[in-house]
This record gives sequence, C-alpha cells and structure tokens, in this order.
Amino acid sequence: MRTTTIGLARLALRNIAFRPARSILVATASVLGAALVVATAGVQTSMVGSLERLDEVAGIADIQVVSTSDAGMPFDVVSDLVRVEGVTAVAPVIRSVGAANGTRVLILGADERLAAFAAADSISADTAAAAAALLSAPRQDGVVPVVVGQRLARKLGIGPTDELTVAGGSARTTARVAATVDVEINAGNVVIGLLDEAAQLAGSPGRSDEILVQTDDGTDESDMVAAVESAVAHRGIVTTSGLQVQSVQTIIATFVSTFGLVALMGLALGGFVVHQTVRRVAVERRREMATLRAIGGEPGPLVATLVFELTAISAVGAAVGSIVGLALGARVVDAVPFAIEAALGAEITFVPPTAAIVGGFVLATGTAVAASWRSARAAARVSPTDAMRPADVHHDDQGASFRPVLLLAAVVTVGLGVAITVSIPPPNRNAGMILVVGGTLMAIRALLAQITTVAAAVASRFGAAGPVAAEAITRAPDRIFTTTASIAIAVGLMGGFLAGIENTQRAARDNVEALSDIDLLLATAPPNEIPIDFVLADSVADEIAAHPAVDSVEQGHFAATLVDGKRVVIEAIEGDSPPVRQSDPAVRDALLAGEGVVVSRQFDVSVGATVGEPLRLITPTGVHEPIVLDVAPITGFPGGSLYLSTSLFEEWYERDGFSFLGIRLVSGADVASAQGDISAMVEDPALPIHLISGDEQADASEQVVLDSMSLVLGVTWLLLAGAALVTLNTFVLLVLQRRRELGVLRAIGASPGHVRTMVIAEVAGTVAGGAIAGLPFGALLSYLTGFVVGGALGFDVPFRVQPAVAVLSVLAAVAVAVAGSIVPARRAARVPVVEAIGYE
Amino acid sequence: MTDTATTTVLEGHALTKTYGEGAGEVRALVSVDVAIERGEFVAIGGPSGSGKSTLLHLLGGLDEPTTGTVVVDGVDLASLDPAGRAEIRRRRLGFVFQFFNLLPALSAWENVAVPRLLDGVPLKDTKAAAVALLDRVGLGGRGDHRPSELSGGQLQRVAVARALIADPVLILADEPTGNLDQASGAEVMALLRTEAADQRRTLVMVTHDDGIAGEADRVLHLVDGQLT
Repeated sequence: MRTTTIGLARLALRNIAFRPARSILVATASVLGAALVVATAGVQTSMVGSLERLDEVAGIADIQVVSTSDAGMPFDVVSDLVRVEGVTAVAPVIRSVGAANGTRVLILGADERLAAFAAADSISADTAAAAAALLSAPRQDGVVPVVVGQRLARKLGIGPTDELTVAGGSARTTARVAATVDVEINAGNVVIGLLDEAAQLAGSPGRSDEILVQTDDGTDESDMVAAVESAVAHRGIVTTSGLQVQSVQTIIATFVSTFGLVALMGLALGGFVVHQTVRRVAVERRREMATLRAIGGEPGPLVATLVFELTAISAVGAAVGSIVGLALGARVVDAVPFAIEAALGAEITFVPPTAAIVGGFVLATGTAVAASWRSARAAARVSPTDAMRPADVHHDDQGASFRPVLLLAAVVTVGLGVAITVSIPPPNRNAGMILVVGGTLMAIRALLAQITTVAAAVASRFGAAGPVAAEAITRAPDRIFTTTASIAIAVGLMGGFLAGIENTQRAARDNVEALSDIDLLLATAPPNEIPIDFVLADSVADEIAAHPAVDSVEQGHFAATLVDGKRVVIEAIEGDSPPVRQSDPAVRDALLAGEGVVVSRQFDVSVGATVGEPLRLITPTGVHEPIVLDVAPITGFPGGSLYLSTSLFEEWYERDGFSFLGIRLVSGADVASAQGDISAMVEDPALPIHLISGDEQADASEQVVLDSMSLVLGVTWLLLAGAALVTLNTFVLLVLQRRRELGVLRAIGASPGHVRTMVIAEVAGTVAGGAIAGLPFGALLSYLTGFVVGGALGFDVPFRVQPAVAVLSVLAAVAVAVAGSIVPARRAARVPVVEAIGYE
Repeated sequence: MTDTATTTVLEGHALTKTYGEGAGEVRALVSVDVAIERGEFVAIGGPSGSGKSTLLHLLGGLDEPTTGTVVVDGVDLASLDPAGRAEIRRRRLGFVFQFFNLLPALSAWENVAVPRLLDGVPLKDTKAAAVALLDRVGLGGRGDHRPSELSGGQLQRVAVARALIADPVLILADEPTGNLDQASGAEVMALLRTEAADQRRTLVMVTHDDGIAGEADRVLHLVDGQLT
C-alpha cells in the first residue's frame, strides 16, 4: 500500500505539472489565506515586539515600580525601598517622552545603581564606550552631556560635541552630545543621560519614572510585591514584568482586531474558494478516478493521491502567501498612524511573526486538506462503471431543491453570528462575523433552486443563445452554487466593507464636529497627537488672554497615567470645552463641578468602569476614588480617556501650566491676524507648538480616525482584489472544464459568437443570482462592520444604506465575472471543433 | 487450475440486477447464467438497453449483482470485500473501454504501466515491459507520446496494452471499436484476438457490430435483460 501511495503521489505531481493553469488557480486561494494570516500576525508581533524592547531594560528586574503619571516619583521612594527586607538592589530610571530640537525622543537616564541589573557580558563595547564618554564629559555652563541614538543623530545631523535643545515637561535644557550609540529601543530615537541630568532633561528634577527592584533569591514573589507596595505607599504602581505590553494591550487588541476583521473575512473567503476550487477539480477528475478504480485501483490510495496533489499545490500557494504576507505586514507596520505609535509610546518597527508564518502555512494548507478530503473521497468512491460512460456524462450531484432544514440552520447561524457581534464587548466582536459568512453560504445553498430560477430567467433574455444558457444554468446547480456564492461574497464584501467604512467616516466627523466651535487651539503637539508630554506656563495663557482680539481662553490638561495597570489619558477640561458634549448637560455640569469623572467607551473596554461606581486613581497626591458619571461615546485615546475638571486635576496631579488652550475670539475679530500675533507670542524652537483653528483640529481629529481606517481600507481593497481574483479563477476554471461542451455546441452548429453570447448570458444570470444573495449579505455586513469598527473606536456608527456602493459592487462583480468568462470562452470558441470534442 | 484445457474461468449464476425501487424499479438483468471457458472469445450482443454493459460490469466485478454470484478464475466475487475485488481486477482482468480512458498527464508507456503502479510497482520498474507491449501492439517508438498526440486507433492500442500488462486470464472489452473508424476497428480487433489466442486468454466483448460478433466463438444475445 505504501509503495502504491508513493507511486500515485508521483503521479499527482505529474498532474500538477500537466495542468499548470489549474494548479495556479488552486494555489491562488491559499496565497490569499496565508498572506492575510501572516500579515495580521506580523502587525501584532511588531507592536508587541517593539514594546517588549522598551521592557528589556527592566527585563532582569524582579519587581518594577512605575510612576502613577508623567509627573514621576520622588527619589525618596528609592531610599524607602532600599530598607525593605529581601530587597538586594534598587535602581531609579528615567524613561520619559521629550523633544530634541523639536523631534520626539525617548529620554532615558540611570546611574551606577543600574549596573546591578545588567550582567557584565551583556554590555557591548559600544555601549560601554558611550557610558564612559558620558561619565567623563565636562559639566560646564549648565550644558548637560548626553548620549544619543545613532538614528536620531543622523536624523538631526548632529554628532559628538554638537549641542541640542531638549524639551521635557515644561523644561528646556541645552545638551551636548558626548557620544552616539547604536540601540534598538524606540528605533534609536533616544537621548540618554545620567540619572539627575536626565530627570532635568525630562522636566521632572528629583523624580524618576521607574524604579527597578532586585530581590533575594529565597524570597516569595507575592510577599515581596506586598512589601514593596507598602513601602511605595501609592506613590507608584508596583508590577512584576512586561508592563509596557500589559499597559497597552487593549490598544494593540483594538488595532489588530480591526485589521483582523478584514483578515478573517479573507480567511473565510480563501477557505470557501479553496473548497469550491478543489471540489470542481475533483469533479473534473471523476472519470479518471473511475478508470483507475475499474483497472484495480483502491479508493484509499486514490483519495490520498488526489488530496496529496491538491495539498501540494496549496502548500506552494501558502508558502508564496507567507512571503506576500510578510511584505504586506511590513507595509502595514510602516503605515501605522503616528497617533497609534504615540498611544503605544513606542515607534513600531516590523518584527517577522515566525510562529504565524508556520501557522499561516499550516492553516492554509490544512484548509486545502480538509476541503480536498471530502471531495476526493467522493471522487474516488465513484463507481468504476462510470469509466464505461462517455466522457461528457457525469453527475452534477447536488440537487437544486429547496432545503428548509438547511435554510433554518442558515438563519440560526447568521442570527448567532449577529448576536455574538453585537453582544460581546469590543475588541473581539469580529468573532461572530465568520458565522455570518458561513450562514450566508448555507442560505445560498438552501435557496439555490430559487436563485437558479432567477439566474436562468435573466440568461434566457439573451437572444437565440439565451435559452441554451438558461438550460445550462438549470441543469448544473452545483456549478451555479459555486459561481453565485462567489459573486455573492464578492458583492457582499465590497458593498459591506465600503458602506461600513463610509458610515464610520461620517460618524467620526459627527463625533469631532464640536471642536469646530473653538476659534483657535494652542497645543504642544501636532493636531493629530495628544499633547501629553509638554506643558506651557500659565503666564502664556494669561498673555494670550490679554490680547485685544481674544474674548476668553480655556486651559486644558492632558496626562498619561496608569489606571489598573492600563495606559490611559486624562483630559482635564473647564468652561465650554468641546469634550463630553455627548453626555447629558447635567453630567457635564457635575464633571465641571468636580463631582466625578467621565470616561470614554475605550476606557471601559480597557480598564472597566460602571456609572455611579467609584474609580480608583493613584495620583501623586495619593489615592482618589471619583464617581464615574458617564461612559461616553467619545473619540479619544485608543487605550481610553478619562475626563475630569481642570481644578480637580491640578489639585490631584500637582500640575501647573497647561498642555492645551482653547481660544475664543471677540466677535468680528480678524482670525488670521490674531493667529499670527499669538503664534509670535508662543514661539519656541525646542517644542512642536501648534496653533490652529477649531475646524483644522476637527479635520485632524477626524483624520486620525481615518488614518486608522485607512489601514483597514487598504487591506479591504486587497481583500476585494483577492475576491475578484478568486471569482475570476472560478469562472476561468468552469469555462476550461466546459471546453468539450462548448466544442460540442460548435460541432452541432453554434457559431463562435453564439458560444460567446451564451457564456455572457450565463454570466449575467449568475451575477443576477449572486447579487440577489450578495446585497442583503452586504447590508448586514455593513451594519456589523460599523458595529465592530465603532466598538473598537469607541463611538456609535449609525447604519445608513449606501445605494451607490451597492450599484458599484454589482458592477464590479459583473466586470470580474465577464473578464473571467469571456477570455477563456473566446479561446474555447476559437479552438478547432475536432480538438475540442476529442476524448482525451 | 488455469492449466486445465477446458477450465471455466468466468461464471455467472442467476445474475439479476435491479435499479430503483417500487414503481421506478428497472430490471436490467433477469436471472442470467453464463459460463465461459479459458481461451474462449465470447461476444455479448443485443439491442440498446438490453443489459449488455450491465452484464459485463457484473462479470468484471465493477458492480455487484442484486442477486446471483460471479466466479472469476475460481474466486467467488461475493466472498471478497471491495479491496479484494479491486485486486482481482488489477491482477486477473484486463479492461478495454470504448472511450480509451487513458490518463492525459502520462505518456503512452506510462499509461500501460499504471495497473502495475496500482500494485505498488514504480512506473520506471515497469517501463521495459510496457515498451515491449507497445511494440507488440504496433506502437514501437510511440511510448513517449502523450494521449493528445495519438490517433483514436493508437489510443485504443495503448488501452489494449494496458489491459495486457498484468498478464490477465480474462480481457473484458466494452465496444472497443465503437469509437473507431472501420480500418482502425479491424486492427484493434485483430490485435485483441491475437493477444487472446496466443496466450489462451479469454476475451469477453460487448458489441453492436454483427461482423465482430460473427468472429466470436459464441454470442450471448440479450433482450430485455434475459439471454435468448
């Protein structure tokens, strides 16, 4: 048996080479499936990998204490920790976002105490030389010596002995480059100084952002965490490891799930196409199987041969798909919006997803094995008497009768998919979408008789060739299922995603529209970023308020903090600031009066919040437990935003100054002139200060959402291209398989034009049938896409019917189907009749 | 057993084949008894729908009778599982089909070697025998041609060579000349008769052609599923 199987496997390989066009068609589906898996995983591993690099410095610490906010922790926490029994080493660390000559950088700082955490052999000669240069550099005239990452040095065009201005918090410090170093952290965009000097650069002298703690080997970890927590006394947050990744896991999950929604659809599409293509190939080989059975072949080895053949093709496709996926993933990572990088606190570089490459290969190939197994078994179990039948007699073994049980199962499956999508919390809502796709395919199968009737009616209208086409449709329900389902999925995906994205875009605009009410906005970050890293002095606000064209100013604060270990952003507001307008006026009044806080839906997803319940905030002034007044649909920080009154924020977080200023001008003021004056007042070469109109801010905020969506949109187009390609495949394959049938029609008097018209009529009928099934599917997909994407972005996406998108989807399907059919049909029509009807 | 001069190599006892049930029931064969001797050339004739092909299917183990038994070279097919029946077809029977049924991806000699491949013998190990057989059927030098490069008569010669590769005691042919022109048909018939006679193989052939039937040692004539 084994020898037979090996021999037949060789025969399978011969078949692959003998039918290269068909082999490529089968492989295409696997390319699509594997590419999307690898690309999705690549995006995820890149995000996690880039963040893990940030944790590397703390990797060998047993316990890590991090600041409750960007205000840092006082150094005296270190002396309290040293006294804890079981603690063997403590090292304070500066890790803060700042700007160097206006470019965003990571400011790192430590002193000799960090040496206890690094094995001597893990320090490169380059790093040691940089450290030595830093230590020996002269300190004079208040200029701080620093080591800068080589990438940053190249970007700024600076080298050793050059000076640069470093901005951190409200501080502006002149620094001098002592050395450059090749580091991977934050993609090399780092400024490194000694602890005290780095704290000065970060704008928080005397305070550290993190403290690394090493404990005695014999101590119990939970006991030590408790002892350290006691010593820290809420001045910081105690964690064991991997904080960077843990703190932003919701952001990663949200981003990846939105991207993954499209990838999942791609997988579903790829799986369906693999199944259908393999099935058609198996049907085509039925006679060959019958012959082998008749001359003594046993079903087992024959099944194995066909499965091997199709799996080998799919494996090649999956391997190619993995390479395509790597390229696609790298492209997506390159295009990650800066807002997402800023939210994560790290520059994202591509990290190849080793496990996913294997996983994508196995998944795509496994789908082919599963799909081919059943079809191959059916083909190999064909009666050997079929070998005696003429070549053109074969069974289309799927009846087209109405199947109420299957329809019921389809309705239940779709209903379950919808229920899962709308009921489970984001960002995992897309799990139900697969059921919706599966249920739709079941419904198409159940209603095949009705769809076939419509398709035949449409086809019959094409002149003299119409009735022939209608007959061909009616008598080949299995083929019609393959084609109509392909069209339905293509129409559904295109219509569903494009309409869903269009609806999301509108909803995003509605969400940020209130920003247009403000005449001018001053912030310490570009309009597409959250200004959490730098603070402007109160005097700047006073100066602006004194300008004759200014009616009033409203100060705002942004601060990054950890709530329950998750990275969120606090926004402090006052007066008539736009945020939280989505909430009830009474809620807003209570917020401004300091009676509680409002959180975004993304905060609820990330941290969890219940209206009316207190929320535990660890602040520099201790633990506070404000009441949650509302969970609002606000476009905010991807990891979650928390809104509270400016007065409360300044009190709890000991913050002076502001990071955001809303400026209202007096009625009739010249906006451009006022903008020019105010720009001159706040000019600071060390900081990226931005003064823009409310409309521009609204546009920029909308653009942040669109940037996130643009990745989804890009992958959607890729998916649609894939859908078009596989639909094209299906039609090409089917026409190739019918070459003999078309030849017979030619032989009995059909002209080449007649044959072409017949194929066009069949395509028209099939597209009509596919559109009938695809448009409701697309509408449902559109609704659910809005739900999934809106859930991930934190606001409601109202469902709107998009007729133009529906028409466009059907036209695109027509174009693909015609392209897939006409070319091979023209070729078939040109083949000499005798050759076309040849038996072998 | 096979050395005996007048051994019966193929027997069918009370063969009945029914398709469908109830009102839709079709009786393709009704209580047919046949016994065919070694070296005999038997033609199965009769009008369309009379059950000729059904009888050949049952005798060749391609299909199972509704009632009755088939004994091939002393082996009762009913006593075998599907794998056992496949082995009988592979090693003791040779089939020639009306529509040739060659595998398009394989060359002529490889098609001839396929039955041995199904028996676990790599194609290359059967090449010499396959090429020799092609020489014998008049296709020397055509061994590397694909089916698409051969004429109908040549295709059927390859099919005959394939039927002979396992040195079967029985050759079952279903209208082997039905798809050929007169000259090619005559050549194939001559080939089959020679190959059967030289090795004392039994040849059972379904045919519509009275001329061919006239060459047979015996004709089993079927009408409405019954021997007449």
